[in-house]
Amino acid sequence: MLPISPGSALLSVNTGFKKNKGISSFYMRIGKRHLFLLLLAILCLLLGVLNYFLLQPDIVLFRFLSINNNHLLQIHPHWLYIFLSGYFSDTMWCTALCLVVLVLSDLKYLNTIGKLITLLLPFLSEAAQNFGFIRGTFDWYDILTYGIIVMAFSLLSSVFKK
Amino acid sequence: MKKNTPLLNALIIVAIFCMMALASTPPPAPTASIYQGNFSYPSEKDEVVKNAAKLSFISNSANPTIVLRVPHTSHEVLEEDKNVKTEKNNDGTNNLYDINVYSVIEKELLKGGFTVRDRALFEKVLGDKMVNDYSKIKELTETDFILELSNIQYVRHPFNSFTYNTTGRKGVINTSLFNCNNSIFLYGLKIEFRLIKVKENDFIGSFTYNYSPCGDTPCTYSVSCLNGNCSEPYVTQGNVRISGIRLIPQEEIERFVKASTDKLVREIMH
Repeated sequence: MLPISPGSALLSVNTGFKKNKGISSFYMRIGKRHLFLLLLAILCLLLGVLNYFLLQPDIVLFRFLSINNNHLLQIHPHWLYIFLSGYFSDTMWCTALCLVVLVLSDLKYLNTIGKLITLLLPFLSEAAQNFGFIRGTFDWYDILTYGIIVMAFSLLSSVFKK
Repeated sequence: MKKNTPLLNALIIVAIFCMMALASTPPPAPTASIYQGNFSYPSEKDEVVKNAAKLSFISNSANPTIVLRVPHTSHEVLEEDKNVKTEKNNDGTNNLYDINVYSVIEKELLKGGFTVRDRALFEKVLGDKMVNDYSKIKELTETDFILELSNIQYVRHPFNSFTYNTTGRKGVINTSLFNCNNSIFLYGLKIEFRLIKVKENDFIGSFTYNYSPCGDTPCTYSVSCLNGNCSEPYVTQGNVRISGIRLIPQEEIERFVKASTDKLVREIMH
């Protein structure tokens, strides 16, 4: 049975890892607030995927799933197109990651090192693009965007704990 | 074990989000295939039109005199006087006039038994407004013939396909045909001369010679093809990619000019 208030979730957090017995334990400890944040993370990811589908359908995922979109969305003005095609999906992905980290750290599924490793991922992925380990284009604006999102979530995390 | 659980959770999240990041990458760019393409095209036939009767007096003449007239005469002659053209062109443009075409022709004429008049002096005489009759030119310059280099140019040969060899099992060489979606080009050369008998002001011969780098033996050049679209045939020298007209080295152009002039001399003399 799901706890009905964030308070009860935090209560279960206080009990530490003794009650952590896999997924069932996770469901026991999750609150409405956590559920909302996780759904928000999924929504962010879906928006990112939708954005790719409408503007850049030529990605590995769609190729793998044999999904084609021959009618690319025409967006004006140009700056909006640049933002949506170049940054929106990355932003959504990073936001989703931060939301997941926020929830899991609140539920004590992540310690400080774990959080650090996880939040470094966006920057590492960008660095990997720069050094050619993965395909894609390195962009300082992506780094800036990730920095802003991570900073914002760090602040939100402290508010969340109160 | 439980102490490591948060770290494991972090790694799981990282793995999941990494997979998402990889799934959103663009697909690998298709790479072009490079073929060693074989090209063959015979050069066009040489064309010689001459008035044999008007040329017959040469056999009686010990050393017929001749002067070479070149396109854009005044400019070119003066430039050559400044010794500009003796410098080989190494900037990759392969300008035909960067080789000393005129000097090569004159040398061959000399070898063929002609007395070759100085071009610059001849042009000065022609430039004189008082000299408006060819017979006067003959008197002033003592020249029997004007050989006009009317044209030297690259000739473009289009291709839509080429053959290439692959080594099959047991070392058997298979020849395949590659059809390109686009046209690719190789270049040959064409040189044209006009011969004028000065005394009578008669046009007595036209001589056109052609050159193909891929004559009897086919040329082999690299061609990179992507989705049926082929690049211009090229060869690589170090990091430099040489294609188009630069595939004909300047030494080869000189050889062609020399051989053409040699043929021309034989046509005039015999």
